[in-house]
Amino acid sequence: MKKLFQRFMFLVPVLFLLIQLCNASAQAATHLPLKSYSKINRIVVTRLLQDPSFQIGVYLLEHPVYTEEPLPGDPLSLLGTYDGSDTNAGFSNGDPNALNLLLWYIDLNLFADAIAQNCLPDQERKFDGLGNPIYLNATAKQALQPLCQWPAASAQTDEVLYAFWSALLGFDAPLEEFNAWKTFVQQNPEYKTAPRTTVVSNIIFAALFNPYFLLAD
Amino acid sequence: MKNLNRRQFLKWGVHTGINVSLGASLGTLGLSALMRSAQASKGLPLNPSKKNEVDPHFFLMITLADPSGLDGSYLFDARPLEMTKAGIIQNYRKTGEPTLWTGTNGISTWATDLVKPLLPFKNDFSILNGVLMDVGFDGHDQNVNYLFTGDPFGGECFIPVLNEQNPRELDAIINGNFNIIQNNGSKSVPLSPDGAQSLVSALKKIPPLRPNSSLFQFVRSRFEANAGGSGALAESSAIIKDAFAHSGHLAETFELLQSQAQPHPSPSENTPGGNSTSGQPTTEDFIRFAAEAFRAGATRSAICVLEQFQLDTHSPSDAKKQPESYATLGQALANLFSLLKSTPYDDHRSIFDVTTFLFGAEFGRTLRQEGAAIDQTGTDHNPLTNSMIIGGKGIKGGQVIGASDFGSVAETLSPTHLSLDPRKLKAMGRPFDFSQCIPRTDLPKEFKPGDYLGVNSVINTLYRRMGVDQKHWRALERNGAAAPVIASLLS
Repeated sequence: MKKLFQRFMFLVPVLFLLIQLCNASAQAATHLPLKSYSKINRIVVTRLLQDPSFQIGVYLLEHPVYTEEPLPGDPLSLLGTYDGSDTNAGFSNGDPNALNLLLWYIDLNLFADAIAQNCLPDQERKFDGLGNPIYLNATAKQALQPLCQWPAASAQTDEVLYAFWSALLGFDAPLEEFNAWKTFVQQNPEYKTAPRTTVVSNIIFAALFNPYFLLAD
Repeated sequence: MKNLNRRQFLKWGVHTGINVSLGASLGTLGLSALMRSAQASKGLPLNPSKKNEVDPHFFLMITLADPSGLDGSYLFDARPLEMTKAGIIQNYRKTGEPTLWTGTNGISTWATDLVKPLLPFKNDFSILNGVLMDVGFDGHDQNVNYLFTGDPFGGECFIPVLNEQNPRELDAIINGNFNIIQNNGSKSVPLSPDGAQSLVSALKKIPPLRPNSSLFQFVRSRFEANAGGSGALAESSAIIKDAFAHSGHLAETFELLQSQAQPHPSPSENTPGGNSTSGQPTTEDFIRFAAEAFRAGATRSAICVLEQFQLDTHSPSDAKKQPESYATLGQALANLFSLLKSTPYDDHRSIFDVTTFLFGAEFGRTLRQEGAAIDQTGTDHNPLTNSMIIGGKGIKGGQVIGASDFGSVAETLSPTHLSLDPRKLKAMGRPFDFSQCIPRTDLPKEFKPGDYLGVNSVINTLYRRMGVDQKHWRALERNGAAAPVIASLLS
């Protein structure tokens, strides 16, 4: 027995190391940060807008945003950014807190408002944070168009809603999330009479302010 | 369904705990609310948040932007000129012998006249000299991490821990470049007055909300639905749900700021302590903003980074600027203390009265560089000694605590010092008698952390003062006993 133990003695440090690694990975998997500002911006701009250089941060800053990754001190860095240098480089401000959720809440609300303006004729549209209209790309426009007929029955079909959900979220969220959102949209009595831009803005926000979209992959 | 205006919405949301009481309630908050000057508030009733306890206690960390280092020989840990003449320590001031600065505890240190602006505050703070940082590393990042977390590779930052007894929506607000590796930093945010201005402006665009609207109930329901179960997404959804609920309370605190708003004059011009060009918020603006946030209950701590100082003086040309830099730094600290004292917390207390503060950087600097002429040398990193300033609420001021060695040409250095610094380029903290809180005169033969005044003792002293559970206290060394507190600072 003693010999057997001695024979496998070398495995002890290996096992110890494995246990430590398992513990470390278990701890690392406990929670996810929010996506960075730049990532969320890139996703929504790519999926929805004509202008690939548009920055949704204009709604918070009210001035043009030139850098994709917010610099330290930039208010947009509060939404999660990569900063630091050398051994202290990393992702900052990405763990959900009262302030960054408040900021995302504001920014996505205003962005949803701006998207919904595309349901109006040009002369009635409000503009983005800098006084410019924002234009949807062809895919997003096609997905939004039927919704703009709200509250017509044709705007509330599963097909129309799924097309719009897909344009917004792609495959970021599972079908359960779509079904919950669809039910909310279709069965909400408030939306039978509300102005169409309000409804469209609300349902865009409702889709985006979802843990599957906000959290890092 | 009843429509509520923003103020009604806020109150409704807060009182019912519904986590949708958000930005709309902040809609009328202006920069002026955040940057109200102390002068403007005089004579006006101050109304600290109901969340503020009877015995409020806040914390202000004043530090320098990494990379830095603090050469105490230009401030409170000076050396006689004969040491420069002997080629031991650079001194680009060249003239003017340092004078003795004697603490109320009877301990003296040499100080240069660059600290003169701090004389009016002499009894408001205590000087910590000979503070050991991480003697095993001399990198900026490792020692910044060590200062704030007790580990050169990062860990639990001490500042959020100070809030443990009475947490706020935010652990700390930060005004500048502050990069450490911390595992408890999610509620420490860089929120400067100008950042707040952008937030405030955006909030104005949010329409009145109905907190019981189906939209917000739906959003909340998705967080709740995904928070069930196990796994990273479930745990993260739970965190979002909780954080989002606190967003409502954060809104409440901003509302309090707004309710005390007074017009603020245009941002102050550059002064020592300010850190930006005209028209941009200065350090002083940040301190005023922090005071507002303290009063409103948004946070209990602020980290004020003095970014304008370039004190990583490796090159001789940078080192030669030290007299000017440290003169500016001395004045900047005096301005901050003055501001803290003149900024009211409530009708009978200043922010200084309710705030403990600590000033320090990641390490000291070497006396010189090897092989360079004493009038053509820069300085390198020295974690064997550091100088700090501590004061404010609950800290006994006026003292000189600790000392560094190599104070004269003829001084015999300890075997420990020589083992850590065989080329005699550095000063090192002297051994420290924690029972009497005085430097020891013996010359230890081998390095034992418990023989020295380490930064972990400084942090544990803050922990003791602010009632932090001992499970958080820093150890003398890995898996060692807790670093002893500096009792004379608490008496």
